Amino acid sequence: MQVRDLIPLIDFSYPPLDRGLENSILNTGQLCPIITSRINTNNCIIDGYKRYYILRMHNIKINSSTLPPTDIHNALNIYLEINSFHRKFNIIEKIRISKFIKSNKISIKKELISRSEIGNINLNSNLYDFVERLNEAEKDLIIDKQFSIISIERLFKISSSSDIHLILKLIRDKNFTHQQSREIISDLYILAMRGEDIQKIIKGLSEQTYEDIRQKLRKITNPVLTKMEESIKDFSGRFKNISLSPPQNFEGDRYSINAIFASENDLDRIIDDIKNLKEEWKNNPILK
Amino acid sequence: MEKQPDLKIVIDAKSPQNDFTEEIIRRAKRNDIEIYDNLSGLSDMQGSKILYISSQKGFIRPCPCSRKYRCCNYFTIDTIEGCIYDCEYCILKGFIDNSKISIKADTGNLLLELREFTEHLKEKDLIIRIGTGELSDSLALEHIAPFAPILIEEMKNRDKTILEFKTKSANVDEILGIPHHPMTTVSFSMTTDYLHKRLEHGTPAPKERMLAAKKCTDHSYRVGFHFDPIIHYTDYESDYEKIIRELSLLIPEDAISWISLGTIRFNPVMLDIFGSDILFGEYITDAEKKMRYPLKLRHNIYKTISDIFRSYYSNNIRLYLCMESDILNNSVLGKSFRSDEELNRYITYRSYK
Repeated sequence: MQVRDLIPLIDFSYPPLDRGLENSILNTGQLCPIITSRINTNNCIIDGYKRYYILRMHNIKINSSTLPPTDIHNALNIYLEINSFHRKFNIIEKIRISKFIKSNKISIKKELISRSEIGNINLNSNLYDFVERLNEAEKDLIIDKQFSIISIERLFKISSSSDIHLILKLIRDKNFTHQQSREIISDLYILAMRGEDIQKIIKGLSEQTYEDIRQKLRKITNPVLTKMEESIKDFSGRFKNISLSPPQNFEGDRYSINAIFASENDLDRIIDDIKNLKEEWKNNPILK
Repeated sequence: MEKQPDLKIVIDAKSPQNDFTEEIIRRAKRNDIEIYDNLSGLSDMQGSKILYISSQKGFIRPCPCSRKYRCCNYFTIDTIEGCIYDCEYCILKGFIDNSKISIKADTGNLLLELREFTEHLKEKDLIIRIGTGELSDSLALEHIAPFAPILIEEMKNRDKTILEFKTKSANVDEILGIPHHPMTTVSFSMTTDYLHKRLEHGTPAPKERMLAAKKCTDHSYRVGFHFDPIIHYTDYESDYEKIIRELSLLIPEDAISWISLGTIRFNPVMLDIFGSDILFGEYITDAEKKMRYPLKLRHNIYKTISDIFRSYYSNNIRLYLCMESDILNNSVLGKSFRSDEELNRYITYRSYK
């Protein structure tokens, strides 16, 4: 069968070219046949898109295995059955598959959707146009950094394309880990939804480390909490022999006191501090 | 009555065949609401709300409020699950499919559960508040599914429970003439005009709710007000003051059972459902992994609003904080509740003889 005879009807592969596979095919030849089938009047590829692109690019005759004629619904089910066993779809492929399922009203067994780890078809489909509009470097980045669907949805909701490009550029330039990327997107998402000037915020971040960036963003997203933390630090600093720790985010009524002693004199000083703390605590330094 | 969304009713073979279902059918016809005999084919009706008449049992349960904050010992009666309103902050969006509203029409079992519950309380020196309005609005669908008269009638001689309806609607006409227990309370969820326009889509304006509350007091019902969720924004103080001033002109203090204050809190998943900028405030993760404003901001908001209430009513107005820490109850209300039961007694003090 000639490459030109085939139609890539259900192609979701991203990136389309796999250099490792290309070398293998050029050196060893095509080991696995491309699965094809007749759908309506066309010879369509059911599985083997990456091999197909390499063979087409190098004008190599393909080795295919043809299934009985089928329809697009069955073809997609077969595609998912084959692929779900030997690889994981990346996020762009999941979004493309979801869009295809929704647009063509294809019914897929829940068990197969679950095994393929495609996720929420509706949610993914809504992100299709957004993701396809990203440039290649950005698409590569969201795969490389293993963006979750939530992170992509948050970028989508930010809506200003210049803000989105800047956020992705920051993540790429700083080479954040996927966890760091997720946290940065989360902070910037909240600020963008508040209507803050994202470009201005990012402008001041380019020279800083991840920790500094997080701290700066935290100050902007949580000004009240940051001030509370500074206050308790100042307050606690008044006592030389004990340290005071609030519950996480000041939620809850249990504060802890930490003290280290080696002698009776140390204990006397600690007791004096606790007495002073008791007096000053009456004025509620946390809510003052 | 406020503009209703397009409603469809589904009564299928599994729906209870009883007088209540018959009544729903009569009312649906009177209101020109289409009735279907199965759910298939209705799933694509975007913009419509489907009322599914369900035989589901299990009506009464403790309010799933809070283990790490002070809770008021409330019990809920889940007669309806889902809501016709479209409030942007509604936490139901985070866990139920709000396009289908389930009306639990097995009123026989509802009454059995209520009787068992009230019998259980007989021996206890405790008055319990119980109400619909946790998984739906208590009265918004009353013109179609009239649960309130059934509940009012059942509870009218039971002194150990205070029946409460919680609503954003002004849909109170159905219940006005019904003999009821003197403590039966119709509570209205209140907000500022600004937040109503921005976030509470499809609901009557706060002024309409106040007028409905007035109707209730005119018919010797007690009323309550839930300022919940309180949402922080520039000028919130003057907007809340306006609404509290208007309230004080219409509703006397001695008709009010309680007023709750609660700042916005939600499961983190809601951050991806919210749309309005006003909902993206400064949040922290609380002791139960929910999002809420930081302690100091909550303190300032509660202090501001409670001071406004006390200036228009008296210092004795029965204000309480919903799902808050002891530190805030103490600093805002000057009350330390050592247990949930103590908070419950504080709220229901009028019922103890």
